[in-house]
Amino acid sequence: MNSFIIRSMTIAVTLLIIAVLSVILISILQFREIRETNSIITRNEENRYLMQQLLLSMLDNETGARGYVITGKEDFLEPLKKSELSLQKFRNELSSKTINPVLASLLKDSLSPLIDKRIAFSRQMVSLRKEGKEDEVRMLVLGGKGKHYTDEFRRISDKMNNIRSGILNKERKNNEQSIYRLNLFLYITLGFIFILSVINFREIIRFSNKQKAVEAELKRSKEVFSTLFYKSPVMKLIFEPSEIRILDVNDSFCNFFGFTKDELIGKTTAETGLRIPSPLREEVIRKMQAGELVRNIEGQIKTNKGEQKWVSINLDRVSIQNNDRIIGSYVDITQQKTQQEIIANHNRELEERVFEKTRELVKNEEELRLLNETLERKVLERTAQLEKANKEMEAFSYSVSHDLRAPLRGIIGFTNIIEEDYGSKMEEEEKRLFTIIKNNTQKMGSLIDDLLAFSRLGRKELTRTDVDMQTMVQEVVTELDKNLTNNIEWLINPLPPAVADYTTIKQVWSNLIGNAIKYSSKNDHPKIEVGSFEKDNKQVYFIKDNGVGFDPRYKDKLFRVFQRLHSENEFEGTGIGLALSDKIITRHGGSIWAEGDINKGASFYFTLL
Amino acid sequence: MHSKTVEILLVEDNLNDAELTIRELKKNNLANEIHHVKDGEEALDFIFGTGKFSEKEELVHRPKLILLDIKMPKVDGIEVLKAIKSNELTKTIPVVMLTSSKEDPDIKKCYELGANSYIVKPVEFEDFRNVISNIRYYWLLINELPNT
Repeated sequence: MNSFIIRSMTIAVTLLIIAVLSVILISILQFREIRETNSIITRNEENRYLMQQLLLSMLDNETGARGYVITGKEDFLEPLKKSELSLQKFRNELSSKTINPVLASLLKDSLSPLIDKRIAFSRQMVSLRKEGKEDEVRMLVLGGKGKHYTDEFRRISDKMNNIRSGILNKERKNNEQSIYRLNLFLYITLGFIFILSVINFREIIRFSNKQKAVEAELKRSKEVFSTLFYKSPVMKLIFEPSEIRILDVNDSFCNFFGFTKDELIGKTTAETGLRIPSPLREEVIRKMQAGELVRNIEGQIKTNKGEQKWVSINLDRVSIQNNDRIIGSYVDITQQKTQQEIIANHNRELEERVFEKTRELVKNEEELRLLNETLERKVLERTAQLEKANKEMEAFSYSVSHDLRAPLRGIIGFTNIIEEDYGSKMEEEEKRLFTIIKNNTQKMGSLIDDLLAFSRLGRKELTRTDVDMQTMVQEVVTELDKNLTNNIEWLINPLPPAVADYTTIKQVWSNLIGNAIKYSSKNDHPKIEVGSFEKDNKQVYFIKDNGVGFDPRYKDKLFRVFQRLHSENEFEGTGIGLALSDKIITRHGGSIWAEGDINKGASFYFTLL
Repeated sequence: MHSKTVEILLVEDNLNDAELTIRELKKNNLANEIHHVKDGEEALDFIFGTGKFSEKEELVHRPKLILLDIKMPKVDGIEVLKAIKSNELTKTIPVVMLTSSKEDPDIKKCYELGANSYIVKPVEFEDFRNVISNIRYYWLLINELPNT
């Protein structure tokens, strides 16, 4: 910023010089003006004086001439001569001093001839007097020429004086104007200079302020740096790159490595033992030369106490006041390193264990897989076996039913033939016996059917769906009641739907309703009620009849296969219906039971799951 | 070469069933002759004579209608059906399968081989009687048997 100051000063000085010169110049000019004017005035005065003297001389000449003429005394010739001399003298002087051309021409052309004429006249007068020609003289005087010359002289000299005055005034005015102009010029110049000076001055002030601000900023910056550098918890050092000589260190660095500042500043890293160990050193050098960032290079450095510490090294190349410097920031990572090692060891251990476990797992998986395969195979086998068994059972049942029935067909068939062909010839008793045979055969057929159904049920899968119990019961009742003659009084209450196997539940209803119809058939007014109620959060369906009922002592026997509590004569039946129902209900996960008394009707209840 | 006109050939191994069937068929005197054989071998012999039937060019008997049971010893009904329906001389004879087998495979096979009808013998006697009666009514009265 020196150049700025020089420039400003130069400007200031220049302005000053200009001002001074201006003043001097103007002064000189003014002075000259005044002097000129003065000289003009002086000349003017002198010329006026000369004119006056000329006039006086003219008068003297006149009076001298007149005096002589009048007196004739020679005394008057003296002034006359004197006046001639002074007229000449003054005329010459005036003529040489008159510069103005107008005046000069007036002088030469007008005034000067008058003077000559006067002189000549006066001489004429004198000469005439001397000659004693008084009357001619008187005539001459009376002619007034002399006076005329004087008057004319007066007139012209007055004119000339006026001209002179005019010239003088003009000159004065010029002078004034000139001076005025000069002064104006001076003042303007000075004013201009003043403004420029003010501006210059302001610039200097501004510059000075800026400088102050810069200085303050610099000071602050220095403070910040000082704090950052010296007080940073990160270890910092500045060294120059050629000999790795330490130029500055901060407190953290000193404390960590166990040196004082003096022990470090000025020394090389080699001297202090703070060198980065090879091969890291080579890598760092390479990086720095390649212009790459040196960040988090981890290395071990020995402290003054001889301890090896792990540090993370960061280096930055900077330029401080045009000097090449390197700032190093070191972070203590000894702890981290230790921990890292611990973790690494841990990891290794873990990995080993994981490896072992994985091996085990793989082995287990393999075993499991084999087991699965075996199981699946077994399942397939079992399923196949089951299917086969099922099929065999089916075939067996079918065959049983079929093959057992075939002879029955024969028995009934041939009994029929006998009746048809020989019925007319038969006795009543014979007919009756044949009927018994037929009945028994029918019975056997039913038994076979029931047994078949019973066995089939054991193997059958239940398909649960939503069953509309109401509609089902209605259907069954309609189906079973349509061919009967006794008018049964039916009371079918609303029945909630259930989730059950449709076919088998229908079988149950058929059985129960069929039984109700059968066992109340002997009643005069058979009445059957169907309904449901809730008990222990379960839906209980029931059917009540007012038929012959049963002995409650044997109510457990009711649901056994082929068990009957009434004889075949009283009521036909195979004794398998309730057993079947019981099986069905049990398969559903529910329960079925009965209540009743002899001739007081029977009530049957069942629940599903 | 004697070619006696036999109306119906009943191939049935169960003699009781055979008797009942014949009895029922004979009602209303609709069938002239009903010949009963008790297994497939006899059936083939009856129609084609002994020896390989496939080489025969002449028939011993030519029934108008054959009622054929399936489950029989020696040669079963399906084989008989195959034989009859594959021979030019006999293939137009209507064959009614009359069997207790309700098995789908059997039904399918019989139709595939060209059986004209498949009837399952009911187990109940009454029903059995009705079926035979219906067979009689349909095949001998309503149905037109081809002339030869």
